[in-house]
Amino acid sequence: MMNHVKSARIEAGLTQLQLAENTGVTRQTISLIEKGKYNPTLKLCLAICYAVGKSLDELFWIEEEKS
Amino acid sequence: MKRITDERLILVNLKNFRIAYIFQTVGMLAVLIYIAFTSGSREAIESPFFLVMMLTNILLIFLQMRVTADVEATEKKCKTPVPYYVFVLISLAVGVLMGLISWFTDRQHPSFAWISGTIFFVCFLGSFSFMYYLKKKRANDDDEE
Repeated sequence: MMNHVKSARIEAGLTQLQLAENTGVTRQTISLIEKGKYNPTLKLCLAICYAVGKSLDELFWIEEEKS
Repeated sequence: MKRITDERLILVNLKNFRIAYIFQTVGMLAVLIYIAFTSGSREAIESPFFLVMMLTNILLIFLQMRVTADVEATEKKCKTPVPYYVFVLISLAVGVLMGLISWFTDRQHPSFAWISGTIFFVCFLGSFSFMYYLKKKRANDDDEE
């Protein structure tokens, strides 16, 4: 799943650790989400959205398969 | 030990439990095979390891029934559900069959045949009833949607 978490986090002036503390996960999880190596649950996606002040569709999306 | 709230680490933890469970099962099997080779198969069956392994597997099968019920409910949505009396008849047939086998192998103790037949009947009926209850619950949940 693609995401704009890193840019939104920097825009909000948060470090990975601060975002992790705000969302109740570890810094490693935030790092993996930013790299696209871990797909968070909807609950965590929303927590990240609230923490950085963005909407869900602004941060996360999946490219539709080209048929 | 601190409670883990990170969803990713919870998943990692579950995977670790799975690996530990596989390791434990393989270890117990190895011990049972060793006992069977050194002291005979009867000793292996009478070992507490065997009882623990059997009970764990039965528990796992019962827990897996929820998964099976969901998968079957999705795959066979169009099919009409099997009525409960069919499960009772199947359980009865298994109970009678096992009772007869027990009676043919040991005619001096007909009570053993009754006991083994009843145990098989109750076990099969219990499993089938639980599965039937889960399927019925899923069907009701679907109706409410």
